[in-house]
Amino acid sequence: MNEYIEVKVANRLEGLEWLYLFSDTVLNRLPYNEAGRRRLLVAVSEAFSNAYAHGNQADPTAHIKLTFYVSENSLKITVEDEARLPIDENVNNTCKHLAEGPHAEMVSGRGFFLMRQMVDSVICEYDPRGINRVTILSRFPVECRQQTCTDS
Amino acid sequence: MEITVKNGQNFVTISLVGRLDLTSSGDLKETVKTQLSAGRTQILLNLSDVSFINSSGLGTLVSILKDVRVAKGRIALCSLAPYVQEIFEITQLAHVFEMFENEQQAQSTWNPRPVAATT
Repeated sequence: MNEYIEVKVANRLEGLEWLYLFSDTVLNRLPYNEAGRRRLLVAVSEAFSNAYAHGNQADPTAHIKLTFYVSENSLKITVEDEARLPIDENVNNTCKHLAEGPHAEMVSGRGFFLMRQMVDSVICEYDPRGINRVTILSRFPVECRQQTCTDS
Repeated sequence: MEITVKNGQNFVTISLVGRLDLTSSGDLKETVKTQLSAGRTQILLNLSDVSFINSSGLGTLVSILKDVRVAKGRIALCSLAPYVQEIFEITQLAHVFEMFENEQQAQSTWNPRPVAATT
């Protein structure tokens, strides 16, 4: 099974509702339990919120593109914005969360850290053609992967 | 997100229903600001019906915590669902906020409002 589905939404807060609906629909068809779906939803919402507020600078004329790639053993989700503010790729090199320790009471700085705790990997890229891309990878639970292998 | 405010004897309980994310942040901040402006600085946030929270929601709660401190008040959270509690643990915010299992437990820690002296 190798399939993908993509959707492009206007850079508006209301887009988050679309994101939840769209993600729920896709995730409900995949072998995750409720906790797994919730964790993925947190990760995707973080990527979307980041794209909306930072990448697209809350500009309603910009867009966010979401793509869900489903393979036999995993789900890959990409969230792309128009890079009005290029993404800081340094976030790939730190596993710290910016709002920890003495900064525990910072209002922001937890998004990427939280995203990483929810899924198997998160990669942030700036494409000079004017695209910020966050790629989220989540492997299906082991028992489901084994079942898929046995069935095939 | 639905927000309801219940005035109690010792504190105000603000109950949230739905998702606590970027879309609901403004309403919640505004609700708390209204309470603080009215001198109601003792606030219990009941999160029992929060179905989802992400870093935007957490940031909103931290911002509110700071506002309450400036007003020399107190804020506590109660009735967090396990998945919401998990997010607080992961981000270490469980150590920043005062948290209770339920409203009754929170109530027991709240001193009665001082009665104004009469002459």
